[in-house]
Amino acid sequence: MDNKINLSQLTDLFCNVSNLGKGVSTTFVKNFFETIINEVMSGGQVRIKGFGLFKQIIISDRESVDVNTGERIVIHGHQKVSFTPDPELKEFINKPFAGFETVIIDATDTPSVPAQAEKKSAVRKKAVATGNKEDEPVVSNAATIADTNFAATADAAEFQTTDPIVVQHEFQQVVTTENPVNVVEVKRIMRGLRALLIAIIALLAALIVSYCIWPLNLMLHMRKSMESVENVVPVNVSQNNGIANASSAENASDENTADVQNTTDKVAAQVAEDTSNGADNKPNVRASQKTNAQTKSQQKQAEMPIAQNQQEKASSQTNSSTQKSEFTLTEADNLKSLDQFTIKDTTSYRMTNVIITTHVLKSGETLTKVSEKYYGTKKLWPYIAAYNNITDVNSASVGTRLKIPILVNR
Amino acid sequence: MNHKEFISALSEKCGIGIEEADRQVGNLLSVMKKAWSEGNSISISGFGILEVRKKNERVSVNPGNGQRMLIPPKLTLNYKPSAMLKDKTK
Repeated sequence: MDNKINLSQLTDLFCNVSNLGKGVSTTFVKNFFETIINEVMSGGQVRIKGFGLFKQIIISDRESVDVNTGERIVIHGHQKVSFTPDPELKEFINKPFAGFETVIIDATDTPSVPAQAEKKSAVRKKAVATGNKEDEPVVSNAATIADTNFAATADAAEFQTTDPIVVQHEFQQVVTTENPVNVVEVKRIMRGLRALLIAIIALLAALIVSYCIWPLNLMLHMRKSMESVENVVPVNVSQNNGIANASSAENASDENTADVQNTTDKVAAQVAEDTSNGADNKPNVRASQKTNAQTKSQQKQAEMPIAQNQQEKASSQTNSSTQKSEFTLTEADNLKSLDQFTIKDTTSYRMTNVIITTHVLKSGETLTKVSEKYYGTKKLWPYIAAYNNITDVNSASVGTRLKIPILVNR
Repeated sequence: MNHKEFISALSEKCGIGIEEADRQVGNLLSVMKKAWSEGNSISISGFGILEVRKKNERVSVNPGNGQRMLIPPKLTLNYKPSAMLKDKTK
């Protein structure tokens, strides 16, 4: 390894192999080389099969600079012996690196390099710059193979590279890790996904919690206002079950916020209309108007968490009389048959949280009709209105979902 | 001088037959190859040095289409003529 074999050593080695005597072998080897030299010197070339071609090369004059003085000098031309090994010999010599091929560099190639020792080198940088790293592991692996098989390659210093730019040791140290860029990208993606997942879970949790808490909240309020349940007037059981037997209120009411003022405005308006058309009932209605307003105000104050100004209701009763426009004919006709119950009855109920059903307002329907349907009397529409927080009692839009609560005697 | 001529010249000088000379050249070459594969260089005075040298991988560009390619490293047999020769040829 790394030895210089001189003529005598070579002769010895040759002698062992050949069957010629030592004298003959010495001559042979000596003549071998001399023949080559003589031929080449005389201008010819020598081609030996399995070996190569020795020939003379003429190097012409060239200008250069004297290293010592710095003057421009002329390096005279001369002749030089060149040697070109035969292909077979080339192949033999290059055996350790036989696995390599020239690879076309494509900038879009993604590196897929197994992790190896990391060291900087100009060659690696070059390869990195070109973007192709596929070659590198092969190269370095082969390099290691070469190191073991080809003794000379174990120490890179033994080989004097022909490339002046590249550092000797670089080749053996041309390695890469798993491309750090890829790994980083993957990590980034994972982090993003994790964050997204956490966000989704948090959102779901919040939704569920709010869904659970909100009704509970309402229930608390409703329960406070609920007194003990007494007799309930069953009316037109076949038609409705709006006024039901006493039952504990389990359902939560939906409307926590009550625009009570508006509601009672409408309530008052309707009542006012009732009074204007039902002459006989005027005084009573008026009385009941006030009582209704008062009781309703009490009711609502007790029931609804948001307390509105009840006095405003009373004052606006007169104003609300202008809202006549949507009073239907059927309403007018039915006014006289309103008294299925006495007026007192209309105030004697409390709304429970139990909802019978949800009624969708159709075109031409009014609250009184709805009340009649479910409670058996039109008079009890204010409860529906209040329960559903209908602001504009005269003009609830088509398709409004009215929750019909069960009414219970106070 | 081609191979034939070389062998005949050699056989003449050594006093061995052509076939024998041919064979012995083969033997000598195999010995040298063995030395090279072990990483040794052969240095003959008055002739020169025959050694194995490593050429690093490099990036080269096809001038025609501008395509970049990576040429792998390789080992080459290198002949360095002796100084004596250089003087002679001068």
